[in-house]
Amino acid sequence: MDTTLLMQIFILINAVVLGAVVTLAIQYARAHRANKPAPQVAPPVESVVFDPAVKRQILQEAETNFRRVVSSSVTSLENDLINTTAKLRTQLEKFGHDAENEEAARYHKTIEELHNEAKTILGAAQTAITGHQTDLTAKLTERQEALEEQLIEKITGLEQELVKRQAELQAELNERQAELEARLAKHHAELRTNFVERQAKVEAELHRHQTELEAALKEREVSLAKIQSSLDSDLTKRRAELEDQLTAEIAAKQAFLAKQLDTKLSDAVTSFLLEALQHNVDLGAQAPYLTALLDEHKAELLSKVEGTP
Amino acid sequence: MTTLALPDNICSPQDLTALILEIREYARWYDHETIKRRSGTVTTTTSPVLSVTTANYLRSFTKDGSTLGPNQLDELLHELETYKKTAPTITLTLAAPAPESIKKTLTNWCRRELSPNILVAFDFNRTLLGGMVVRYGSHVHDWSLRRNLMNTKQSFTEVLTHV
Repeated sequence: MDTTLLMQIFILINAVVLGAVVTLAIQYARAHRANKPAPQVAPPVESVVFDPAVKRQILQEAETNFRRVVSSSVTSLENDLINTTAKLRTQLEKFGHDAENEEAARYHKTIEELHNEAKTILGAAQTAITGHQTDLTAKLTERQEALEEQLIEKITGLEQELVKRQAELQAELNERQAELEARLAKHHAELRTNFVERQAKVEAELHRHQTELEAALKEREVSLAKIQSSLDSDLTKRRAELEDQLTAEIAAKQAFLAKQLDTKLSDAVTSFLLEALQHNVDLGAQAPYLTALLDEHKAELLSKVEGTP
Repeated sequence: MTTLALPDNICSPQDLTALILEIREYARWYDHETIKRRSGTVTTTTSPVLSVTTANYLRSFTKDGSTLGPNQLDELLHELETYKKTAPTITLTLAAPAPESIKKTLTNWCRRELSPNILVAFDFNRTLLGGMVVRYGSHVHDWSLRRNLMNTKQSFTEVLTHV
């Protein structure tokens, strides 16, 4: 990293110097190319007087020579600059490649170191875990054995206590059973005695009830015979009444039908008379009758007429 | 209430209406003729033909056979209109169209016994057989032979049974 930085600084310094040189060269070139009046040189106290034409020729040759020198200098400087630039580029590329290769190698190296270190750490951790597992297994085995021993002891104690308790319970059970059997025998005897007495009482009561029921049954038979005879007489009476009522209804129905027959017959006769007589009406003959009719109902008509405002 | 007395042959409201129309037409003609006479117009028109009943009725107002004047005719028309509006009307339905004699007899009886200014309308219904149906306002009295037969049909059948 430090080498790269130094290289960059060096390249920058070179570029600055090269720029300054180029700038100076350009300034000189421009100064020579400008049509500046030639510096007035104090006329020498010559002793030799040149012809003006010769003088002019000399001056032109001097100017041409100066221009040629400056041009060659500029060309040389430009060539130098191009060469320097190419060299600098080559050098930079070389430096770049070197730096890149160096960085890559260093990176690979670092990764490899880290990998190895990780491997070492993992191996140590594996070893530690294995040792810890071994310790834990040993401790667990020891603990399990201790617990098994304690459990066996407890089971043994419980079994002994259970046997003892079973013996006690069996003794108590036998005692209770004997006691219950004695009480049961006693109750059985008492029940047998009571049952005989109760059976005698129930039989006596049953006999008494049977006698009473027979008496009630005979009485009920007598009562039923009376009711039967009463019902027979009522039925006969009711039948006679119904027969009388039916006879009366039939007679009424007959009278109604006869009345209806009369009505229909009278309607027919009336209709016949109406049909037969309505074409032969003589009002002239009815004049006295009509007057008499009005006379008959005079009071009724008069009340209606006078009652009208 | 008017004091007019109509003859017995003008009995119904229709008769009275016909009388009023004829008198009105006559009064109009008479009025026109009077105006023409006053104005000296020579042309005259024939008088409208009046029925015997109307002529006799108008004649009954004058003793010497002269005619009534226009004002008297107008008064008469006014009184007849009033009579028509105020007179009670009774309707008699008979078994046949009533002849004039029956109409007169019955109208005379009604005006004598019931009311002197009553109008009697006549109608007929052949199914009545005889007698009459009298309607006055909303009251209807059926004194027809048909109604008598319908009311006494039970005894009629009994009579037939004994024949």
